Amino acid sequence: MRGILIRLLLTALSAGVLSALVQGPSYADTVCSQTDPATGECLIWIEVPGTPGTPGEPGDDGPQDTGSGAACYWDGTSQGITKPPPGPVPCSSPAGYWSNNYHCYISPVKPQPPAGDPSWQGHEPGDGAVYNCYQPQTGLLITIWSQDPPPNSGTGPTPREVAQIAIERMRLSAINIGIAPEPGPDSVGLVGMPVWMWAKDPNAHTVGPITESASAGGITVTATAKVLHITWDMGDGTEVVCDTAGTPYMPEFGRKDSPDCGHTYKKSSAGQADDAYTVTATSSWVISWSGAGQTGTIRLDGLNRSTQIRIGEAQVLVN
Amino acid sequence: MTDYYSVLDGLRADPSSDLKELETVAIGAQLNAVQTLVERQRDQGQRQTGTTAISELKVQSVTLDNSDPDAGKVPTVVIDVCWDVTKVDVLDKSGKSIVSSDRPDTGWTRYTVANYKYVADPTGGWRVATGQDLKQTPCAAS
Repeated sequence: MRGILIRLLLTALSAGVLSALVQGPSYADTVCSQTDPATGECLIWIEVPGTPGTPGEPGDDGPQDTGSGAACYWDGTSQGITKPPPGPVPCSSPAGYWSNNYHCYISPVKPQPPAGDPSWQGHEPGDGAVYNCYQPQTGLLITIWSQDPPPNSGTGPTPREVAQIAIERMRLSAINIGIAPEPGPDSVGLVGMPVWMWAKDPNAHTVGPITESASAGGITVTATAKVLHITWDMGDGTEVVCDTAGTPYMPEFGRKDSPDCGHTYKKSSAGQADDAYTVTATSSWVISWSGAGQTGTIRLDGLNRSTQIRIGEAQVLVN
Repeated sequence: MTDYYSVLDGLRADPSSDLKELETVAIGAQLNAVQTLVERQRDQGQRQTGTTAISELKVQSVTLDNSDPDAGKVPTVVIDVCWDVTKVDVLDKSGKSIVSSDRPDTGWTRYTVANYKYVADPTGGWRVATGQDLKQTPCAAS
């Protein structure tokens, strides 16, 4: 008769799919408990203990911030399933709430199976509960036993929140300001002379790129951060946006302009607080994250550092 | 059990029939499983022809613990059924059979029939709550 190929495919798929479907926090195996007589396909899949007592348990302004991402996601790649591709899923459906760990919608079996049923995995009624685990992507429905309700991924962290944990681990910081003329009471620059600005001793924490990963709520996110540009508030009402870390000034450059990050004051700093311009460098970071079958971008501005430089009129010095 | 197979056969043969009828013969995990199965078959345009026969039926045990039905402490009857699907075929949209050539035509399933409303309906409240395959020699076709 018919459809051998389909059956073989389903059988192979089911075996691979199911071993991974319930992986998550559990170490139980999944077996077919009841076959549908008419088709010979499995009607009820259940978990059986694999490890005894194991309960069931992710130049322009750069890319836009893409928001939170979806907390609930499907990723069948660990089960060898590429269609549908990884991506967000609704956190709830008529079949229950989504579990990233189990890759399925969870709902308690109502009423609970009679005592002694294999789906209890040897536990007595009242000790944990039996849940339906329905995977609409494959049409598979299994019953699982769990001591506590499997976590509802809809109430868990979003990929962005997990990415933010990764960002915290990066220990991003403002740049160390390099500027000529040098800050301090003994150094004075001149109106009309070039000022050079740069990130001093740049490293992964001050300008990137830096990559970190974090996991929470069944979501694992890898994030890479780098500085898109540095905005220099020169203290005279001018903002200079530099797309590079800048070029450190060397005495042999003389009166040349900085090739990539500079400014020329038109007025002296006399009359400003401390008779100096307060120069503030603010880093604009772009963090690209991927995980939970999704990708996104986080924009992070506001890491800044300030210094003061004095600018004098040339004729004042001459006189 | 006869009612269970009869209702299931009817729902799988007629895509327009109301799935609520399953609630008269199944409950809990069994109800959920057969509902999912029939819905999927209907979505895929499959339908069944022929009916399931029961060749043998053996009552294995009876339990009348009714101390906490919703939690699973519920009166049950465990019944071993040898079914015969020799006359059953499942067809796809085009009328072609999707049944594998190596499908066993007979086999044993141990069903647990439970009454979650034993106090209110001690005779009519019995439903198939779950079941599991038995690995024993198939019975003779009926």
